[in-house]
Amino acid sequence: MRTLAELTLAAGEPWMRFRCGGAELAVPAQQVERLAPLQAITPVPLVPPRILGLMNLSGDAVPLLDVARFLGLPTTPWTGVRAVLVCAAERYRVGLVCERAIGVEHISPSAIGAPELAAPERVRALAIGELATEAGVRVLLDLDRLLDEARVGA
Amino acid sequence: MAPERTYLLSRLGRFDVLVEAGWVEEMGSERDALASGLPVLDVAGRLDAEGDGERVAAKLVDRDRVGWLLLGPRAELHRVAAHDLRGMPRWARAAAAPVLGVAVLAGRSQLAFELDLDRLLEELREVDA
Repeated sequence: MRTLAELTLAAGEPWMRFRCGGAELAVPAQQVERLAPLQAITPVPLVPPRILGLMNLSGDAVPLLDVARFLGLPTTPWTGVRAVLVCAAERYRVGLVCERAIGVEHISPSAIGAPELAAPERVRALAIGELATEAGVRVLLDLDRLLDEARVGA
Repeated sequence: MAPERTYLLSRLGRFDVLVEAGWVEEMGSERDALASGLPVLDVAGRLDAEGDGERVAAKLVDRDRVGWLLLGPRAELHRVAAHDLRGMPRWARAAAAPVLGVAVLAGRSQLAFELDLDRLLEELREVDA
């Protein structure tokens, strides 16, 4: 769990907003290497369903996380355009599969509240803060923890 | 010229797998393997992949370790450049999966998994025990 000082620092950074499972989420934009369209997926043997497979991204095999499934959000049919946020956390490079990337936004630290409204519980547990907007709650995720808990064997 | 390795490429249900050809002493049918009296391992079952019908078999030999791997319905030789081979990403690697890495193959959108033959030979030895 991050301290308030760390949270304040983190909140001063730009955040990449995206939609996933009907929710609006965000991760630190500095940890997003690139956005890519979802391409052919190679399934991986003996992994849980949250791991969609590997995607060939410029010759690199990037593992893909079904964010909605992992967080317990409603999963939508695999139709329409999906986006992949290729993220680099401390130890891993992983593609977050979502419905749509919205864009980068700087969020004022004073606008961020403690995660209380985010649902379901897994989303709240992996949030470092949330932001109430007219459209609903925007959840700011702790990407390092998310990837650590979603990895195979965790 | 980039260094290359030669593999057997076989389709097992959802997965393309690569078996390094240097470990393979001979190829045969599933019947040949079962009739040989040597240990036999069904790779599709081992990877939880779907597979049916008659399969080809590859006989592996390494010092005192020997046995047959049942692959898919076909296997073809494929040359893979060293720079097209990657380690399996740790984040998505199941400890139970006998996979060393992945390869990008020319003309195929799907990646292929390089089987860990040393580990599979050990498992063949356990089958035999």
